[in-house]
Amino acid sequence: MKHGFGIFHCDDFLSKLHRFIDDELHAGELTAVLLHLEGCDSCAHEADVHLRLKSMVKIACAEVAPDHLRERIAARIADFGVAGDFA
Amino acid sequence: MPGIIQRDALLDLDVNMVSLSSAQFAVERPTGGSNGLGSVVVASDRARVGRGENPTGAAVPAGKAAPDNGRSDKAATFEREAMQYLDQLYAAAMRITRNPADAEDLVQETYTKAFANFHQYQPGTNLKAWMHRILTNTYINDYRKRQRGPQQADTDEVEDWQIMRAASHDSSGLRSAELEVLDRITDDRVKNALGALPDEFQLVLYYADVEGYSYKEIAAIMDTPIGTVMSRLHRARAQLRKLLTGQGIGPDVDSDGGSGATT
Repeated sequence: MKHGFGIFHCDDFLSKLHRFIDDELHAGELTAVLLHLEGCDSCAHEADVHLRLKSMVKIACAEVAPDHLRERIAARIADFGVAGDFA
Repeated sequence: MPGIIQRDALLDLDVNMVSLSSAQFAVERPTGGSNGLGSVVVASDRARVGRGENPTGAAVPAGKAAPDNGRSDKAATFEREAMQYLDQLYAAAMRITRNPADAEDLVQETYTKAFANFHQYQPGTNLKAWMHRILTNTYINDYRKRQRGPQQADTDEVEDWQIMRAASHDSSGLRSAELEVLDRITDDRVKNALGALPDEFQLVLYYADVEGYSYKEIAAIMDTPIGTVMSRLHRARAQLRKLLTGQGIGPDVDSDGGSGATT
């Protein structure tokens, strides 16, 4: 049983779900998606879960490189600068 | 040769890369720009180096000291431009190597290769994406082969949104339960769950969710068709969701080479 809200169905939304949360939809598609989400709790939930997951991944993956790595790389580049153009 | 670090092989231009040109990373939308550097000054320096206008850059035999200004200009420009992305490269490396020591080695190799090939970087294109591409390529071609053999991610481009229709799609009770579960999940659990995914899935999530690269950019970074990027994203998220909330009818975690962790 397909639910229809706006101009397309749940399956249409699900096929665009990832492009929606990744901001890859064209303007026309986005309008249709938003219209569908207004009327469909199930799809709104899917969007909500995926937006949360996206945000959780973003927060969990943040890293600060250790200072000694920065120094190691800078020293290595400086070495190459002296040693010659190897490219 | 004095001064040359031993792992010269890394600097070989034939580093299994299709091309190190950064043309495919044309900037299509504003990048972070949080470095606080004067972008005009940086851009002009970069343009000078990038066009090969450095008169000492091309013809000096290796090992022969060049006039100081040429080399140090290149090094200084590279350092000023590239070092601002160290955290982002390290974060991507941490995802796939899963430990700081290997991540540091991978990032250092990435910077070394990027510097060696900086002449192929085109001013005005996305330097961070270009470096992420070098990192990805270095990992896949060097590290993974060395460490544990190729790990294949499932690249079937099936329309798996069809099976992704979750159980929760039909039950409001399950829906609110899933949101409650998500609310309680810690960063460490997210990291552990990510660690259970195949490397390509972790990378594609990192590039899409953390760096906010477009599908087109990710395709260039990972050297895959856009369809593969999308397929990996779908599967990665389905697996992540299943690992974290137990919901979503995604593909089995084990079927794509994940370690099968259930936490």
